[in-house]
Amino acid sequence: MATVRIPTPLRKYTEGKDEVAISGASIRELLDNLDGAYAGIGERIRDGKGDVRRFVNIFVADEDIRFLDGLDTKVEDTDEISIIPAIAGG
Amino acid sequence: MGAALHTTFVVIGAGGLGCPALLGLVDAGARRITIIDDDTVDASNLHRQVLFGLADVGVSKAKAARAAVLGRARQPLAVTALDQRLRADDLAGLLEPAGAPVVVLECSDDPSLKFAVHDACLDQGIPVVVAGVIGWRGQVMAVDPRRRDRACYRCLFEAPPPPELAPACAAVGVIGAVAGALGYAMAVHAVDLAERGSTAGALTHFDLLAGSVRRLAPKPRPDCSACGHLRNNHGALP
Repeated sequence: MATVRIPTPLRKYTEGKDEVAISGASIRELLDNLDGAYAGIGERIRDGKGDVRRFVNIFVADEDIRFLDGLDTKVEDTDEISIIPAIAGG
Repeated sequence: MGAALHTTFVVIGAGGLGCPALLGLVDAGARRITIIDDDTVDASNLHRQVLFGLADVGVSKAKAARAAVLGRARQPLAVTALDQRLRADDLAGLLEPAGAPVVVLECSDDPSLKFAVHDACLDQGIPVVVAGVIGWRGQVMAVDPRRRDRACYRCLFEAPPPPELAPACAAVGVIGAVAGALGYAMAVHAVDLAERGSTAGALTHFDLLAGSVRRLAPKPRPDCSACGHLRNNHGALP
């Protein structure tokens, strides 16, 4: 299973865990499984159409999935996935 | 400082990020600073807005910040305080280069304004530092429109978060020292942008509760709404 790093605002959905192990052959499948394991987290990451929200970035290792195959980017068990939302406070 | 001595640093927002950013700029030797904020100091601000004290409560933040930095500076320093609400429509005129080089530090807590300031700076070729802070976390990114081989803020984040998903510091809290760390980092980036722009294009993400600092250096997106046209029209610089 890949390791998914959870940003602080979403840890309320993951029982406070800053990283979780989730299976999935692609980012799309991994996000589906993440939402299945931690209900409610999915809608904070994807919009109603299933697209990644425009103020959220998903990285596989240090690669932005928009430069890979987007939600169809393949995921290996050894991969580390980071979810990075924009922080707007000042 | 070299070129930074002749640079005007425009600090938008004299709050949790703006106060430490101003301290960093002044202590680095900045000679010209413009501070823009329409808010007044509240007692609840004082743990993170370190330029202010109880005597400043109720006073214009821009004016109180101006007095504080002038009192601290050891170098000749000209500070303009603009006690005004910045709107996207005002940006073009305000940021229009007036001969001297300008670097903008976007320190507001308004997500839409943050993106609007960033876009206006890119349109006018002005380097800008964008940051955000909440709780124990923060992000900072230097953007240099002269470096077309580097990503801008919108290459990374395509649009601002909606208000319901981007609570303000006043609503959910921020650790004062975290805002301090981010504000100082903004000053470092701003001085670098004035001098050479070597730090541009990378977002640094701090989680100071976890003790982690992560640097992300994305590629510029060819279809970026803010900087894609610069590359398409003029090509990437070496």
